[in-house]
Amino acid sequence: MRECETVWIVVPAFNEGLLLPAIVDGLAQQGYHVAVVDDGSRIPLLPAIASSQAHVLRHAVNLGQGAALQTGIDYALLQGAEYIVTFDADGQHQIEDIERLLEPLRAGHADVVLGTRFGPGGAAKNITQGKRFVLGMATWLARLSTGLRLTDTHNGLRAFSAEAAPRLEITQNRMAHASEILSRIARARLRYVEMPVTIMYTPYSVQKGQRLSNLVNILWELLRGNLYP
Amino acid sequence: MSTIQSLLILSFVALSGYALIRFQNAALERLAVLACSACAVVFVFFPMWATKVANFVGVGRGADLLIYLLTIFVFFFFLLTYIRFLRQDRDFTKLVRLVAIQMASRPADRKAAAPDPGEAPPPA
Repeated sequence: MRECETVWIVVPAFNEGLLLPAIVDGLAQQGYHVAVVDDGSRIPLLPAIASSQAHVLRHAVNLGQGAALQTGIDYALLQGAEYIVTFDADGQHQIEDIERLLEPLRAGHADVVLGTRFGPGGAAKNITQGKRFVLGMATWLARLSTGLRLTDTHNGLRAFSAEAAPRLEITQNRMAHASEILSRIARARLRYVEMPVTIMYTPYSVQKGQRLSNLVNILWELLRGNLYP
Repeated sequence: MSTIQSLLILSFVALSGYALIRFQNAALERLAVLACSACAVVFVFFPMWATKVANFVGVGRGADLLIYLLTIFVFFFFLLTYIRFLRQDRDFTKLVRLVAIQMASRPADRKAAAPDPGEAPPPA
């Protein structure tokens, strides 16, 4: 993190008591501003991270990850963010990867930087075959529908400039937001680039994460979004 | 008048009465409900007329025509209700978001509110 710039890390969190404090402290130590969006967790997350440097927002009810991301992005923009990074709270993402994502933004080469675990240099540690297959299908579908040339379309680690952020406006409250972000990039003709990241699957993150059957839900939400934009 | 006829008439009268009271400021809705009820009452007394209308549009029986119309109606009702639900969902999200942003807990505010552990009085 460089001096005189404001990088905001948006961390959507739902029932993430376990790893959140360590993640938030790790991010704050790097000099990043952190906005945790508690998406209506059963037990509010604020007490667990009250001593941290994070700004903590809470949805009164659970709306979904897409909605939580958008809330965090809105807040970061209000706070004068220059660059915004979205970062998962389940321990899959590596803090060291953030700087690599910011480089193309600082250099002015891109408006949006997407993390890829499947592209050259990326890694998906302990990934199951089933998950690899579903993500492969999702990537193929998203490439087909948006025309973007990407190797990993459902990676939660993303970075974008404050200028690009309003054009990514997420309206898909639940999991279809990943595809929605891509279609907005395509429609707004934003300059995008993929950067390699490491995704670490742990028993905890797998249990917290998407199930295979959710592919159907993602498709349905996309369809629904097109039906009534 | 047969039992089913009186049952149907009673239902339509109740429905019209409800619509008249409920849609106070929606003249169009009131008119629509009243017109439909009036039509229905006519067909209850003269079922053969329904069949005549059905034959006119190429359907064999009045009862069949009714089923087709009902199907279309149910479909549109579902669609309209669904669109309304999506709109409400969107407004609801905006509201929850606004509250979350306005009530955000900032680190500086928390520090000011909580006593510094270093200055806490020693336990007695």
